[in-house]
Amino acid sequence: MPPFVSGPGQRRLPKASGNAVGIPVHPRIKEIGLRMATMEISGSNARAIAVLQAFGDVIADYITPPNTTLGKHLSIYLSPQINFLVYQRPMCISMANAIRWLKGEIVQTSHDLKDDEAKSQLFSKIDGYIKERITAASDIIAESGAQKIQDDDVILTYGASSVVQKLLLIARSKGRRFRVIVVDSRLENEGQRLVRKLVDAGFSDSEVVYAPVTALSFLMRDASKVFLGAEAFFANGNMLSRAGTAMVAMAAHSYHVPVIVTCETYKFNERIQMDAVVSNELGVPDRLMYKTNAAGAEPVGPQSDNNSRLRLLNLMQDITPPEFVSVIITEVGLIPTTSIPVVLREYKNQI
Amino acid sequence: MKPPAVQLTREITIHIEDFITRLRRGQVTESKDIAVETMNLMRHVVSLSRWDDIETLLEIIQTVGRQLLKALPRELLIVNVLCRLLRLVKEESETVETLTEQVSSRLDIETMTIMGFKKGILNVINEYIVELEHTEEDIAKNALEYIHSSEIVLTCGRSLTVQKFLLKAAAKRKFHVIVTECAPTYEGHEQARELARSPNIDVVVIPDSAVFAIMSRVNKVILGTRAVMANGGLIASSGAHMVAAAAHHHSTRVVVCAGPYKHSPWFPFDDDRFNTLISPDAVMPYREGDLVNSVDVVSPLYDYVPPELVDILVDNLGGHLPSYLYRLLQENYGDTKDLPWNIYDP
Repeated sequence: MPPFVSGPGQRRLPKASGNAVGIPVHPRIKEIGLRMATMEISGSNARAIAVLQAFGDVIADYITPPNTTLGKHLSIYLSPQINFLVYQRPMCISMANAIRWLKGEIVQTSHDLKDDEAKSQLFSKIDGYIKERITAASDIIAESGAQKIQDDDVILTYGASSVVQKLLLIARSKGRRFRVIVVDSRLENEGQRLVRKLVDAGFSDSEVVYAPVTALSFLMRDASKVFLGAEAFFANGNMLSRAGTAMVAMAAHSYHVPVIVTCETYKFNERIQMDAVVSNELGVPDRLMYKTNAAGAEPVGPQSDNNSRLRLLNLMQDITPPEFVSVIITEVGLIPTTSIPVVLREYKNQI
Repeated sequence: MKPPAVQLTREITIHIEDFITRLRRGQVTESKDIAVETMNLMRHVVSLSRWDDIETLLEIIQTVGRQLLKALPRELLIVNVLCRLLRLVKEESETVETLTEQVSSRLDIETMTIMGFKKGILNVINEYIVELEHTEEDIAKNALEYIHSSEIVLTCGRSLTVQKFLLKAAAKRKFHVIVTECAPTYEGHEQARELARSPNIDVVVIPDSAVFAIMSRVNKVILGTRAVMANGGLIASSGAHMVAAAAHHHSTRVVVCAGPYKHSPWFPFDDDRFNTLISPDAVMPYREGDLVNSVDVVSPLYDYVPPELVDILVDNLGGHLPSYLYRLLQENYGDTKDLPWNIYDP
């Protein structure tokens, strides 16, 4: 079997080396690292915001050592923090992009500024990034997507994407009458959170359907539109998202149902990934032996004798080929998958 | 015009009702067991009922079949087996007729023929039961043609036929098997445990959502099924359609192992006709309380897989294209219009 990004229990915290020896991990970083590992903070946007805010606190407590400047040393100071986070849970692309942007901003801090001024500049930049490219972006996308929902639509969605959730609630508040089919997958069962939010927002029982991913072909016949959230888009148009999304997109494509993906531009990546096997995130494999991720869940069957030939693979991510995606809703407009490199270039030119 | 229903004896009616109850209660679920038990029931019916000529026997079988179909309208295996039985009985009677024509000078030929005929029919039934019991072994004999060393094979959930198929290939070759766990029944785990008993198979269990992700590394998909319809489409366990579609997208071959008792002479005019919804408790436990009340939880048992996604059907005679299925149906069941039952109008 091909090697994957190692899962929890197999990762090793890399030893600090060079200039980074002796730098402690900030308690805020420890806190969010653990919260990410236990899936308390999950979802690309939540993780990116949490990481940026935590780094804001780290920068606030940072004191530049003598004989160097903030611009030069802060990035080195941040690397053991980043390593700790990766050790807790592999970074998602949104986090990686946000951190890369932050490092870029740090390096560009002018050497003439005093520490306090440099720090407050960084704080306002971090705030600006979170507001513009994450929060406001997802609001714009949700508004734009909600316009795509008409009365008597049957919307199918997979898992729980924060933006898709916002979108559905906005459409509902505008008075649209539509049904929602939530397809969910094992272990995380994130779809149940979405279902709860929908029920709390007033959807009646004939308007919400909940089903496992094996029921896809049974349900796709009824769907009129599919809304999906993405974790990232690669430069060749491949979409990275929760495992199972590709199947939903494929089923929608075969039944000629449009697939609308919501994605903020900060999640676009210049890398190209061909399939889901070259690099993927692995969850804890033994959890597959239980029905849910919650503590004390029932096992799926009699515990198997320790057989080295029987392994469990808990793949968490998926690559959806671009031909299954009809349109991507971003904060800069509705674009096809072929326009992703164009958007990346525009943002690079802005810097 | 339907022939008048024959009055069945009380003993036979008890057997029939017992059989129906056992099936309804879910005491028999394995496909082969259902087929074998149906034939055992028919053996009782044929030996216990009074009939003197072929027409009466056919009417008895039709009456029993109609009762079973009314009671269990979605159980295709029962009707398939009964159609085969009808065909066997008709073939036997044709053989006997040709023999009778040749030996028409004997005096008490009539009584002898009836006794001989009854024995002949019971023999035919017994042979068919033996054939049913050996179906999986016969299918597994083809395994080495389809599975080669170091291949990565994907299978979906649990199927006894596929299990024996893979274990037979593993007797001579080493390969990998990926099994989807098939929530909410989780039967894939059991299949994985059985397959891992062989020292030549390396088994990996994946959740159903990871099928598309792993498919780019899979060489072959081997599926089991509940029934094969006349167009080559499958009524298979839930999730099979997505597996076959993902394989089709990656141009991976899909091989379906199914015994001839699973071949159904009818076309599927409606994807959901033979599907049932099982308890949603496994999908969203009742413990969630208020949420279960406010939401429609759907958990279908079967999936319809269209014939375009199936590459090869393997039965005891070997591999066939789905487009060849009509020929097998004609040989096994005769003309469909001669069948006295209609699954769309029980």
